[in-house]
Amino acid sequence: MKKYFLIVILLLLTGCYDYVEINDLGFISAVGIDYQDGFYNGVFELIKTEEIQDSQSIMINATGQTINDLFENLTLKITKSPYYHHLKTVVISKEVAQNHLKELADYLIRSPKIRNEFYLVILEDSNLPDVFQEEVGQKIVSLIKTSNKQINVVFNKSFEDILEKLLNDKIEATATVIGFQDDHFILKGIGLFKNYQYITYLDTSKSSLLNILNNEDAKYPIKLEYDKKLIELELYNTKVKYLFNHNQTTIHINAEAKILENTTNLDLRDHQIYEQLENDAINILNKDMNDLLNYLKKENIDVIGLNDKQFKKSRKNNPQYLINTNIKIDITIKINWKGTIFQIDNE
Amino acid sequence: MNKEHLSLTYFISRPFFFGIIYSQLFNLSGNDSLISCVIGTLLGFIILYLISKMNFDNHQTIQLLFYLFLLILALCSIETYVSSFLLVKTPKIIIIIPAIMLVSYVSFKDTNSLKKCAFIFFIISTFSLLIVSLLLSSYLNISNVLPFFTTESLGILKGSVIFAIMSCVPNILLKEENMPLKKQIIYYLMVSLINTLICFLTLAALTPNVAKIYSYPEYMVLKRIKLLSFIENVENISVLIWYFDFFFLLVFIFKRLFNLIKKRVVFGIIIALTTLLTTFYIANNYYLTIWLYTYCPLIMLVFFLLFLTTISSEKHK
Repeated sequence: MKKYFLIVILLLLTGCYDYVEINDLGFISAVGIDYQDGFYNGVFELIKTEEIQDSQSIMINATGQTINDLFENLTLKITKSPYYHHLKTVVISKEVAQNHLKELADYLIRSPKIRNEFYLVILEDSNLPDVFQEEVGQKIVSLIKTSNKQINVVFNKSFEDILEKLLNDKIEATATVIGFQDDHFILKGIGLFKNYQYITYLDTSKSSLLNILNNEDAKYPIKLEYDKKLIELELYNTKVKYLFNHNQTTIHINAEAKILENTTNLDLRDHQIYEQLENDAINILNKDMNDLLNYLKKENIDVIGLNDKQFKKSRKNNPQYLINTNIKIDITIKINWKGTIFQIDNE
Repeated sequence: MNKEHLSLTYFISRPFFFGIIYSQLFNLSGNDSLISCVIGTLLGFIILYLISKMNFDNHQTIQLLFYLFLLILALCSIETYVSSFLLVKTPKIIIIIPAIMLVSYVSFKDTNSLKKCAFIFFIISTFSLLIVSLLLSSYLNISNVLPFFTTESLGILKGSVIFAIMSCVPNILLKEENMPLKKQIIYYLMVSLINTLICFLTLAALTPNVAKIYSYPEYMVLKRIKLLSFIENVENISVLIWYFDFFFLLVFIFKRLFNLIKKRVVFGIIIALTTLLTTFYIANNYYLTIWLYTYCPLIMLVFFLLFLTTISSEKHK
């Protein structure tokens, strides 16, 4: 009798009620959302699990008055249960980023069907349906990850990291901005948010600087001109420290540099040249950093999190800290790589 | 050290942290939740001391009501979690019936076998926790927990009281085990350290602002775990440690209820009615579920104060 009882218990504990056959699952890899004329327009990339013929994924459009309507209306067009646990990318238009991000964030976080480890990117200067082509989700993820390893002009973190900043009143959020040119995705830089509203994006150069200030390992090219010829350095391995003293913020930047290209007549066998190059590079980096910081001050967008950092030291929240503080930048650059040659002799 | 008593204290003190205590703690104390855990542990020592002085011989009504309250709270927690995250379409009664059947089967077994079983599950649970901590270590950021003492003192104090009450008062279920007070305090300290570690892991990985918005932040943090960059969705395995807690809590609730009621038929009817009440009325009606979650520390405190009167009545004798 006890054995039968145990068998009944074991059978009931398998949780088969909610079971969906894997072939009946529609794996959604990417979602694109736009907002026009009071409706959300969505494009969903559904991965094909049947025998592959000409393409590995299909695009399905849907519309809804709310985000939930949009996701629910998708089920009217597909023969499978949408499965979002492998969602890689959510692409939103500028309109959604500017005015509807809060609604979208609420739905994405509230739904247990969606893992929040996807990348949220903003699409500039293109239409979503034009952009959604085969394997769009994977392509965008690969683009972001590759850039992160190379020069790093992106915000290489998942939506949950964006959410951390959206919920934190002491730092503003950022997200990757992409465009679409000649049938290819192109990284445009890092988008800036104020509360839940998208403001603008920084170009790739300023995005690199922003990543440096946020202690994300970014590479920043510096072009030095001597006698109308250029020598190009690249900063890497940057380490940034912030010191707060009353109304003064000092940013200490330590960077290593490599010489990538030299068309000048500078003699790279002369050790004093390196000191000159370092000093000139420091001047240029100082100017570029000041330009970026002045821009952020003018727009009052604290994406570096100065208020957050000073709050951790002083325990005093100051929402206007970025505007009111005097920022001093102290830069140290050490050139430690020049390539396999000293120089090619010029004719 | 009696390893079986340690295991029992571990399983009885922890279940209500899942879905109830941590979310309230983060909401009240924010990044000072760790301070609340420390203060709560110290308050817990006092509560355990008072529990050791209690005598329930002539207070069976209060005991019965208390055990029924614990049963309703535990069943509601299990049903809400499973139907929210795992079996969304499954009717709640089908979720809970196998659990009730299994717990009923086990609760009529000999207590010694149960204690040995508890020790084995304790090893599995602590080992799983160690693995989870190691896997989460790469996602931790100590600056997320800092700075301390930025939340209102009242919030920290409320969090401490909730921590102490909800982790200690269920130990009334273990009164019959006659654990020496000194040992029980040591076991409780070890369990509190584990609970504080989970609090730290959640805050350091998620940040206080994100942890506050979730109903189950201790579950959501497990979603961050990625093994070798391709093994994902391990949260449903990692959360096993909480299932064991609820299992042993329910087993002991059933045991104590049966000791009070003594008749199998009556016991079965009470369990069935409580299950049906919880499933079809409380867990199905979110107004009541949220009310229960919000006020359960207060209700637990009321029961604790009622049990405190057993100390004074004992002294008067």
